[in-house]
Amino acid sequence: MLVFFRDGFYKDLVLLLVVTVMIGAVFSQGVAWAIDTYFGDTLDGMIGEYGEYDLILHIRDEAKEAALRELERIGEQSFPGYRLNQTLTIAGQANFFIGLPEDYRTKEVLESITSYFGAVPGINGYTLMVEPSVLLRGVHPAVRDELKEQLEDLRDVRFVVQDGVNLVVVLTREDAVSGVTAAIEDILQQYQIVELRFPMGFEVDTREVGEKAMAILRSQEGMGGTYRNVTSAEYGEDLDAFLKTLVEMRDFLGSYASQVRIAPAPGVRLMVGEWILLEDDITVEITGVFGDLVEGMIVEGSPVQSTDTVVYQGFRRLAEGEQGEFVGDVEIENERYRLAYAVDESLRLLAELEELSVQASTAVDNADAVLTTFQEALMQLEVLQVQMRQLNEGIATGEAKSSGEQFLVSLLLNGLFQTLAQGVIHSGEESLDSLEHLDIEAMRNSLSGISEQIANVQEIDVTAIMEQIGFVRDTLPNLNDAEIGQSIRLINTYLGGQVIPGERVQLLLEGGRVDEKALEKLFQKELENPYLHTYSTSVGMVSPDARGEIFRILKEVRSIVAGILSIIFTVMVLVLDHATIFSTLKHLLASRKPLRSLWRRLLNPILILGGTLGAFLLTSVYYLSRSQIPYFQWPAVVVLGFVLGVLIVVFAERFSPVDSMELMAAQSLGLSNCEIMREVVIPPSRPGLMVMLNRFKKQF
Amino acid sequence: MLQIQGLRKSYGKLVALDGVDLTVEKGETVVIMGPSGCGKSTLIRCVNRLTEPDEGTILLQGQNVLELGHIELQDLRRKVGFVFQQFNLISRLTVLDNVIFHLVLGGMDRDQAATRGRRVLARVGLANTEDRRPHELSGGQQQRVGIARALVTNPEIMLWDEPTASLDPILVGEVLEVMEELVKTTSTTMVIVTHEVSFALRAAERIVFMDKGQIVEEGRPQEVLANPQSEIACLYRKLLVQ
Ligand SMILES: Nc1ncnc2c1ncn2[C@@H]1O[C@H](COP(=O)(O)OP(=O)(O)OP(=O)(O)O)[C@@H](O)[C@H]1O
Ligand SMILES: [Mg+2]
Repeated sequence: MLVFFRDGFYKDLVLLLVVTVMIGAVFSQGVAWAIDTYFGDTLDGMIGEYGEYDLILHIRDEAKEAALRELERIGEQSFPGYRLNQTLTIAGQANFFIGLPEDYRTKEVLESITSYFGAVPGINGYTLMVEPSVLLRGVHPAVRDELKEQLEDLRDVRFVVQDGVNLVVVLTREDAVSGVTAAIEDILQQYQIVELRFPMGFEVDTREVGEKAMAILRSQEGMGGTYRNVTSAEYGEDLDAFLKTLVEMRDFLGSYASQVRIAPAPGVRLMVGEWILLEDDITVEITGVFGDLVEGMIVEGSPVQSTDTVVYQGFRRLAEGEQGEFVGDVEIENERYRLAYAVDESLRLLAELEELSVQASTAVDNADAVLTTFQEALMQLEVLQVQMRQLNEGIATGEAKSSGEQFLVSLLLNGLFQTLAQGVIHSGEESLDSLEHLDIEAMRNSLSGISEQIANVQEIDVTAIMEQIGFVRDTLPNLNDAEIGQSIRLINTYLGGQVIPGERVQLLLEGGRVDEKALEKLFQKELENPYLHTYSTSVGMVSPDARGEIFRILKEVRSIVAGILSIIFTVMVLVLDHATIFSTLKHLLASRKPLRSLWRRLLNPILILGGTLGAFLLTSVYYLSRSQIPYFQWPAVVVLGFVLGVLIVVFAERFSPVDSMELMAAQSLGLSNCEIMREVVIPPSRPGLMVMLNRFKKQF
Repeated sequence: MLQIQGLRKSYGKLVALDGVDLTVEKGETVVIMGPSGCGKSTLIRCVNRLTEPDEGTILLQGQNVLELGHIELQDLRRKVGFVFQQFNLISRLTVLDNVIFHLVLGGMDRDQAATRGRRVLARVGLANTEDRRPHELSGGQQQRVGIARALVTNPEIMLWDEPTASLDPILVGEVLEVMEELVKTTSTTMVIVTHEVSFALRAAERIVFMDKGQIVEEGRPQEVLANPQSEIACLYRKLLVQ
């Protein structure tokens, strides 16, 4: 094979490779650079040049005209010499870039942006973009002031502005950014926040636990630094609130789900998470096992609607969804149906209430008349009483001899009293005494009170209330158990992945470092809570400012584009140029004896040559064009190049077929391989670099 | 001039040449005949190693062809004219360039080569076609360009691989005419593979019949065809009688 190159063609090949690599690098980098420049210019047009603007005001799009007038007024009044530029509207939000004159770029102004611009129509917040600056995100409130002081003492730092939980460190000069960034990182290194998280449902006294935890830390050997309990609610409470809401929602849903209780048959063990099949296509998931009491929830199907407890037979659900052994009786109480029933009943009462109130007012009027009659009767009774006493005395002294007369009178008395006040009166005499104590006037007053209240009741819009309650009632049965069950499962899945921060205790460690995971077991043991977890966070994070971030991404894009272009370029060069060489080479070597063994075929010098060429081309172009594709490191580049080269060799004839007749004629005329390539093979092949370079070599 | 001994060549399992011995004297014209696939092309391509044989020896003017290095092989090929069945012209070159480009690459002055090329072209009857491209010519004309290309180096031996086989019958005549004229007027050694029996009778000093990779019969054309021994020779005789 080497003979093929030896008689001069190797020079052409080397020249070709050098030119190819140079052009490839220039091409890939050139295009990438063009993209870079284009986007760079576009960005400058959009967000101004470095340091041109100091803040971005976000304004609702519909209010932007009014906002613009107001901004101009504020600008002229408070910041003469200001710059204003309205740029992109993103997601219904217009963005105004404002540049402050040098005299106004002060800590005082930048920390009171809200007081200047808070009244601008449609304002939706602002972003500081003072340059040069370093942005420190998510600064823990416990160290904020302390950090601010330290940062302001750094060299090249002009001042530090607090912007929510962030600190913007404004610098005196642009080239100090990296130095200050490093210095800030050093300061941050001195702090560590060790966080103990207790799962949902553990209400702990954060102060007390904090003290204990610090005592534990102090008792550890070789642990320098000072500790402070900096537990703060201000920090990351959004997620907490969200998770707590989810838990509330789950519990709310759960209280409306049918209650499922399973009495396991003897010898049956059930586990949380298992599914049980019931009749009527109902599936129940086990949610809790408490000794003999097993609870579950319905995840598929709906039970019979009944206020009574319904009992089903439960069967284990096998992996394929088939019905397994009997596991026990399953009682289902449909809470919603019961509720609906109760609501129904109250609705009926409510409907009667109106009628009742009408009836009641008539009744009160009647009662009044009754009372009058009653009072008269009482007076007559008193007379009767006197008469009877005399009669009694007469009887006792023997003046009245007839026992039949006596019997009649007592009978009469008993009957009368019983109709007036039931069950109170035992003997005529005492009962009459108590009757005398009845305050008829008071009773009359309270009767009039009742009639007033009844009038109030009549004023209430009972119909509207009934409509509302009816609406609630109608929706109740619409919630079906399977849906509730699925929602609960969904929420549980989400919560399962989260450590639900029930309570947290944060300890600030200054001037030391601990391995918080190594301490987890210790804390779990000492604080007697196996569910607590420990985490370590930083008190803040240095992050590139918006512009730096955009340019970093741009640079990355540039390298990726260059990388992709290098690969495309290499493939093109291989297809256009090298495929021709390989198909010729394969053709010329074909008259030799074929290689027998497989490994000789794999180690075929043409394949190896192709792979090497491919690897060389891709690697050189990739390197020279300063390409960088993420996760695509050097070995991968070399391997890809090799594979491409081998593929080109294998499919060489497809990409660039050689005219075997012309080739054979040229051989028969005694041409050297180099002459054959230059005069016969290359000129009619696909136009590429090789054809171009060959122009200068060929004689015909 | 040419001595071939024990030449063997197989393509995988297929045996194309199965021990061929052949001697050609200087200035002799030998016609090789045989059925399609019997190994004629393989045989004459082995002579200038367009095909590499597996075994045997080939002596050309005393040089062992199979042991030449690639530079010497190129020198040898320049002394051997080869005419192909499909003409095998370089399609992007003009007629004249096709005829002379190997001379120029070999170091000859371009004008000198052109003069020589035109002379050869005139000799094969293509005086006014030098600026045309091969595809603008008829098959017969293209083959005559092929002949001129082989002839321009004044080769000591010319190998012809069925020069008329891809031409339609009307054009066969003009090519055969040129060939016959060459045989008669030059002293070049000729090895011609062809099925043209009457041409063999007129121009050849010897006919060699091949079958299945072997030489089955050879001799002076009139004698062999008058009294054929082999099956193949009989078939060609019938062809002649018709
Ligand atoms: N490059 C090759 N690869 C594989 N087999 C080949 C090759 N060249 C020729 N053969 C086979 O070798 C045998 C001899 O071929 P060759 O071309 O020498 O025959 P030929 O006598 O010239 O026939 P034709 O009259 O058709 O030209 C044939 O069977 C042919 O199929
Ligand atoms: Mg043939």
